[in-house]
Amino acid sequence: MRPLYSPRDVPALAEEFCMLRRFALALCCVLPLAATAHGPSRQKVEQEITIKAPAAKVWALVADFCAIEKWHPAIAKCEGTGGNDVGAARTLHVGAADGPVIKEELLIHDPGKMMYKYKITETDVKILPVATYAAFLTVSDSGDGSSKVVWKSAFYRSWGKANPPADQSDEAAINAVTGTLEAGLANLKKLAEK
Amino acid sequence: MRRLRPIVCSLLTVGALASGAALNAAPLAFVTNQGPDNVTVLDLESGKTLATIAVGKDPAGVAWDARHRQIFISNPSAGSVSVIAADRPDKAHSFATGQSPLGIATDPIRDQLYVADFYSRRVDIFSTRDFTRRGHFTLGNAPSGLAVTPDGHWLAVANRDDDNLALIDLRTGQHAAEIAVGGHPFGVTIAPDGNTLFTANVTSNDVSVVDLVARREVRRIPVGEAPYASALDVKRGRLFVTNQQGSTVSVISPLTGETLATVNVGDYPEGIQYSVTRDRIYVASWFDNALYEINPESFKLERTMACGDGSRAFGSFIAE
Repeated sequence: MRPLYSPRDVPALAEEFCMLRRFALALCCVLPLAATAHGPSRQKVEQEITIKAPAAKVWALVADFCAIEKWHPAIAKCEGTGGNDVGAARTLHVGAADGPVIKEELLIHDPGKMMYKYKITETDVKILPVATYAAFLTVSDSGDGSSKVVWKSAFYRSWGKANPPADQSDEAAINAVTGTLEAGLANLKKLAEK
Repeated sequence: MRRLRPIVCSLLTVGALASGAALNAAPLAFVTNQGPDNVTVLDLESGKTLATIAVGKDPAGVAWDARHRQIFISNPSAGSVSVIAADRPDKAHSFATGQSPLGIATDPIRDQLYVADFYSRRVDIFSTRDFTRRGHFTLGNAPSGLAVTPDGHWLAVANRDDDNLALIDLRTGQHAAEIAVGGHPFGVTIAPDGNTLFTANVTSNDVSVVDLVARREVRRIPVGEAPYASALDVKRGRLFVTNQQGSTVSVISPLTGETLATVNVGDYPEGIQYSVTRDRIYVASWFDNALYEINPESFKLERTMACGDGSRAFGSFIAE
């Protein structure tokens, strides 16, 4: 039987533990306004579309994190920092260059799997009433020269208390996300099949 | 740090005793499906679905009541709890609770069910015999996961939005302590010896190891993105933690803080539990609508059992 723990590790572990705590405290001071309050039931919206174009061509259209301004009809302008590195940020202007703003952060960018994952760090509840939103965008080869794009997202409604107003209910959040995903995929198909 | 040793040693001893007392019948899993508002009942030997039972809206939490061989299900969007007889899982009876029941646990020595009301800073107490309300405890903000020590002495509740753990003395009904833990503690797991507790901390991406005797956090162990809940393999003393945003399960040693493995599972893994009878870990994937079986020795994902849309299984969802 293996020893449960080795006594010589204890001072090192204790030190590591204290360092972790200091680090956590420092983070708390830097990020006081992260909006994390939300209700008990996460929601999901998954949309997919078949595109008559090779997967590599479709991936080339969406791969750059800030390319969303070119393929999503609701995004008028994207300002990005960090390229396609994990932690890269994009600020999306919805509808017009001076329209409402949504800020997002890249969590995973995997060209090998033709997939990226991102989260919303700041939203405007008037256009997208969500909280703790994260989504995957994945392109896959269907084998016959066509491809499939899946956009799957998970989020809570923005209203973090009981009895949400109609425009911040689970249903309102689901409808807003569904509309956003559908519009993006439909336009991507149009561009890729040109 | 030194006092951790005897605690965890006794944790393993009690675990070994518990595994010897396993029942003969095949264990059943009761998985809550948020989308279709039902529960999938799975035979964990055969992997087959025995039944799909309608419950209330957006079912989430599950609590196995070994005293009466019944399963309780919390329905946060219905303001109700549903109860299913484990030996005849064909229908559910529902009763009203507060407006947002989520975390749910039974008492091992009393005929009582504890229901955390997410929006009301309260844990409601119900009879597990006639389902009437017996009272409540006042808690902090967004009470989430909860668990009772095996001796029935302490009820531990994660006050998610207060970043602490409340300890209630069930013998006196008094609020005994609030113990600071990591950011947004959600799932709570108590070791079989009743002395050590683990919280999965959603926003600090770690697990707090809490000494319930000293009433303080003794370790903080980093795991994956947005941990949700944990399960203790009582045979080997390892903790398995679901990472919602990481789509993984972290396997950690509560003794050393070491990560032994990171197992890829479906997206948004939520409820997780160790079956003593099967010696396997079971994990529900909310996005991929399945229950996975993980071998706790090899850390391999051995089986995938389809469930309904939005599988959650938050709590003790295995009847054994």
